[in-house]
Amino acid sequence: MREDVVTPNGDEERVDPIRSTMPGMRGGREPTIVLDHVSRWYGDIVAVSEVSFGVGPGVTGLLGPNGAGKSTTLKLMAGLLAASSGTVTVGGQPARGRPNAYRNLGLVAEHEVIYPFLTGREFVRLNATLQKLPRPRQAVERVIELVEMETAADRKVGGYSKGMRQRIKVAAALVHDPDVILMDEPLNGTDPVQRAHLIGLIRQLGSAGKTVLVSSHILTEVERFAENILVIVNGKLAAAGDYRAIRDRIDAHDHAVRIRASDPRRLAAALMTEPMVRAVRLDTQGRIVAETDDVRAFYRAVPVTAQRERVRLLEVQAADESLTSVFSYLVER
Amino acid sequence: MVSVAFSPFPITRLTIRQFARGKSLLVAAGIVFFPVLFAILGLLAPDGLTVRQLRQLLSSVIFLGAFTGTLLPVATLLLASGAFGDELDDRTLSYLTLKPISRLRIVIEKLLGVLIVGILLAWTGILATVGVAAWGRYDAVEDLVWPMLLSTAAGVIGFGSFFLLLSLYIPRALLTGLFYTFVWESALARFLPGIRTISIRHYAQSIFAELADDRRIVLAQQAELRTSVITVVAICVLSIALGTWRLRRMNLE
Repeated sequence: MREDVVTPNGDEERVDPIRSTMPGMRGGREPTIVLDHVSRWYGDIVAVSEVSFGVGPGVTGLLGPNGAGKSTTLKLMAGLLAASSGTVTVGGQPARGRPNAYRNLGLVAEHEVIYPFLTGREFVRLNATLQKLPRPRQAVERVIELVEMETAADRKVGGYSKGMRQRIKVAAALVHDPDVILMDEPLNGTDPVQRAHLIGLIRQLGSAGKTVLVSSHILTEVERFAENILVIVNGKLAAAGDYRAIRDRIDAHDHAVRIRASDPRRLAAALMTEPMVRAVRLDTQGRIVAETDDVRAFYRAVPVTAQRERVRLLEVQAADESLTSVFSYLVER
Repeated sequence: MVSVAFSPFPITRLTIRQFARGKSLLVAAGIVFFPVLFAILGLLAPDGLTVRQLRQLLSSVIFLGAFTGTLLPVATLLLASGAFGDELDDRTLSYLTLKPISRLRIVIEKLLGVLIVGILLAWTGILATVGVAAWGRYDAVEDLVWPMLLSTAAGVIGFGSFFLLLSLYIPRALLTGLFYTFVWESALARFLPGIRTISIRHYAQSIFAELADDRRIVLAQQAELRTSVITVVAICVLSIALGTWRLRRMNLE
């Protein structure tokens, strides 16, 4: 049960991830979900490699770049996938092969498809019926209200926006009031208002003592709802613990940020003078790619510089390859 | 449209609604109504058909020749391969498997959806064909109708459960099923005596031949009624059991 991880204080040491840094383990509380040396591979491709950690009550963020193994990890916990090796337990019982365990577990899957011919209310009702709830109608109305979908609940799901589909999936996953909730990128496709509402709901579920695990590839998103995070990179557990410590370590690494602007050359020249900028170049599509050693200060400086130079910003985002390299940095440490 | 929620068979109703919105149902309907064209041709015969010719057209040419041999298995395949196959393709099956219900119930309810739609569709096609072929002379073929309907139901049960099972094991169940239907059921089982007795088509046709009160309707190696019914039931039960076993062990991406 022991493996090398980067702990919040930055020390590399042999730790027991189940009993050290994770929520639920501190203060003598037992973890609800335990992964013990779990691997999952597809032929020669390893999706999850020798991962061991525990998740206790409260909200835990599962952070990692796209393709890191987050969805596979969540599916292993939900029992949708069998581990190639190792064990996954939820509530002390094997995660797979026990349908009755789903009375107490809800999964918001990443894939978007919901039966398009059902209305949102029918979809949630279907979930309530299959959960054999004693008062399904009340449960359905409760969760539809919880995700603020009352006005759209009688429309066909096929006509929903991505954000609406996410919210109705959350409603379906919560209709039976489970104690363990797994959410795979639930904020994808949501607008800022929907996002704020869902984040509030996630925090509320955590405060109510439920075990909530939410995956995301955006640290700034995760830190809005989770105190504790697990970082998974290339199928391996790279870090675990308090998000502040992990954020500081991530921020200390060089970042690449891609900017689209009305006058990229002028803005690039101005950004070169900023102290936190290490290098600036234009890519083949005329976008600025800036490397910085203080990404938060850089994000503050960009709009100020653009305004000063009278350049219109069209898009500012972390370069994907930069994000992957930042996460990988945690593994290399 | 039926509501899928708060019903005794929510997965069956869900499956029926899935069929209702898809193209498979339309194609399957087109296939089972195809024999109506044969019936129209019979009606247009220059001197009309004698009673004997009419009964032969309906029983041997249309029902045993085209319908149960090829059209019924293909129509059933379209429905059965989509019942699980579509949900595996669009990854909605996890909405069912992540519930506190047994895998056996999921398989049975899915199969029930296939059988309800398949049997109703096939019966409608058969009745329409008989109605057109025996226009104004229904009394001459009345005794063939119930054997046709029961034989059709047996065929849908046999083919439906087998193809449903196939879709849980093989990603391209439709193509594999078509190959099986045309090569095994339609060609090999028709001409090779050894293979005939291990084809679903043979037992569905035997039920018709046994029930039809007509000494001219005889099949090569015709199975007894009891043997045919037991075989069809056995295929259904075995398919349900293997399907449940597969669903328990299946990894859902």
